[in-house]
Amino acid sequence: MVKAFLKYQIKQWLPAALIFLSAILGFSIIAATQFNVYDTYYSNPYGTYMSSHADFMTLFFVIPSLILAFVFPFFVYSHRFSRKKNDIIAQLPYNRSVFRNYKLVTGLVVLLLIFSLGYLFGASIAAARFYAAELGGNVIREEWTRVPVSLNGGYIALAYGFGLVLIAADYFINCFIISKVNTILDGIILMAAVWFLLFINIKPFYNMFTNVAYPFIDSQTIRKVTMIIEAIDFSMYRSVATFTEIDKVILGRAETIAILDISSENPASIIRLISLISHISLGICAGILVFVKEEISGEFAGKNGGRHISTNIVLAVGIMATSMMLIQVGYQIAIASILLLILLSTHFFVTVIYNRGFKLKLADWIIFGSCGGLELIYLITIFIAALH
Amino acid sequence: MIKIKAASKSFGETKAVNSLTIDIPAGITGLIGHNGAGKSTLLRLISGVYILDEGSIYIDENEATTQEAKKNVFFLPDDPYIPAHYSMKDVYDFYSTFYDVDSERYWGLIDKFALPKNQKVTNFSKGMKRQLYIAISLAIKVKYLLIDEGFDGLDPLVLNDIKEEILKENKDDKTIIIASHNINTLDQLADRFVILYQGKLGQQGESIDMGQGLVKYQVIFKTEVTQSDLEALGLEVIVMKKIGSVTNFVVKEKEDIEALIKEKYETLIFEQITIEPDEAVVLEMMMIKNKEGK
Repeated sequence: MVKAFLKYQIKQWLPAALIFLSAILGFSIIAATQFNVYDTYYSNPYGTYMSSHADFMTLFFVIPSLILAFVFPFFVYSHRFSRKKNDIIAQLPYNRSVFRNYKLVTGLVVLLLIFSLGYLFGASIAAARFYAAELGGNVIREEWTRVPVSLNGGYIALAYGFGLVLIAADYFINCFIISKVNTILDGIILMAAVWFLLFINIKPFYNMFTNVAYPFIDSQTIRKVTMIIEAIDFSMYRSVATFTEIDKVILGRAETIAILDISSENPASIIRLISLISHISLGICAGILVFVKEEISGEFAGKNGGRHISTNIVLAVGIMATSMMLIQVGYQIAIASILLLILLSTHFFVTVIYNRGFKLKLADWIIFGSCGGLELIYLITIFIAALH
Repeated sequence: MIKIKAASKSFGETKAVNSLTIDIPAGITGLIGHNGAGKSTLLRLISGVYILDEGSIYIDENEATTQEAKKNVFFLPDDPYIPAHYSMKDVYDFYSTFYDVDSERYWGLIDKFALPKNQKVTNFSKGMKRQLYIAISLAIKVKYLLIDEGFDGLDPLVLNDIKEEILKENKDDKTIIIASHNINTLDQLADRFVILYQGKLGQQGESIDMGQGLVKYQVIFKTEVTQSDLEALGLEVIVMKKIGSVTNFVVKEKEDIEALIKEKYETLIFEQITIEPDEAVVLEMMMIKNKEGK
């Protein structure tokens, strides 16, 4: 079985994998050659100055593959998006869940392989350019401080390892999302809603509380609670920001990765570390769930139907959280009210698109009404906060 | 043997298969039914594509969705998926990855159907694609072959070739189920017939008229005779139509119908005419509908 499946999967993935790999390698080359590792001279009316740049941003080698972690789940669950394809795949002489699991593993392996090749290729070119510049007699210095910069190879490997973990986590989170839908459009909508939610998280809901409670609770307590809330807040940008912290160490600009420096007095490190751990934990949980879940019967493949009502709730909460974040802009009641109307209309139309029609079910109206109500309450809390 | 017991499958609020119980033995079974009767859903349930809501389907001793059962079943859908870039060799390679495929038979059929080997499948006409699908489904060595709408878009010559090849497969212990609206072709192929009606078993039998013993007459009555007049004679009239002076009616077979009618009503012409397979199925479905209505 494994042999047969591998043969099938290699054939299935090869064309797409080669296209993605070419794109990633191309991006890596561009990124690696754009880093400044030479002293440059520039002039202005006051004189001529020398400037040394030493940017080594591993993030550029990770971002393209992170984007692929959002694309690959659509390939893994492609049989869900077409009845014709489902007819062929679901009847193959394998247990459908085992078959799906093989696809999950193959997708991950291909994704990590593409990332690894792209990263190692790009990082090698960038490192080679750095050392070549040094060998050529250019001492790479900080632009303003003039402190010599050296490259820490060990941390390049660490960034690679961290990239592997983060990409795998996002891959599984997205696979979990896609496993809940039967069409590509639903997948895109739900994925957007979930990631908006993961970005924004519970912050707006917490703000709703602080807007009203601020005058009555002492600022010290508010600060502590805010810290806890921020620690729970799992935002992807925090995980991604970790790469920039590693980059600082790679270039000797920092001694340790700030996110791991929890002994420091800076509570932001702890917040970021918890956020990072929660990101990875979410990936692990999603991974476990997608592997153990029995693959569904395929009667809704490619059709708008068979979705669990929970996906409607997640979609609504995702839009609501985004709306609340946007309503907050400027704390101006007039602007916030107009924004609320715009966002409620957007919310309604996304729901209509998700349901493929204006005829919404009672459950959808309840969800929509609840979200609209909460957004209105949020607006009122802003008004209360403004009064204070 | 395929054993289906109290099988049900719903799509939302629609019951596609409704508490269906039936055994399908070896040989060719023709699956007939109106649009939405549940034919395609039943084939997908037998092949393990769909999972039952209730009941059970056993392929020999194994439950239909198990790997053991699926090894022995191949389902050819009405419009199978083949990636756009696939050639006929790719189709062969794909299926031979998962099934035991008789290469000689596959390429022999490709030659027989005169399909162009150097073209991508995506450039094939509908009929050519159908021939290719039939070729691969006949070359895959499975005990159970399920064909959904297998004869659509085929010219009479090709249809004849395909019928020939399907009949060749009807040997040993092989079970072939063909769902089709092409009743005449089914009549020439099948050993037995199953009619589905609204997801339930409507009727089954070894001949297309399901052994109902229907007879059709073409009569010119001298006086006006209605369906109730004939029913008053103790005849079970399935359908009666009058076109001009000619009355056509179908009744359940009974001893000496002609004498019974002639005794009461004067006729100018009285002759029994053959019921074509298509018509037989329509009559069967009307009878089922009437029965369900009652």
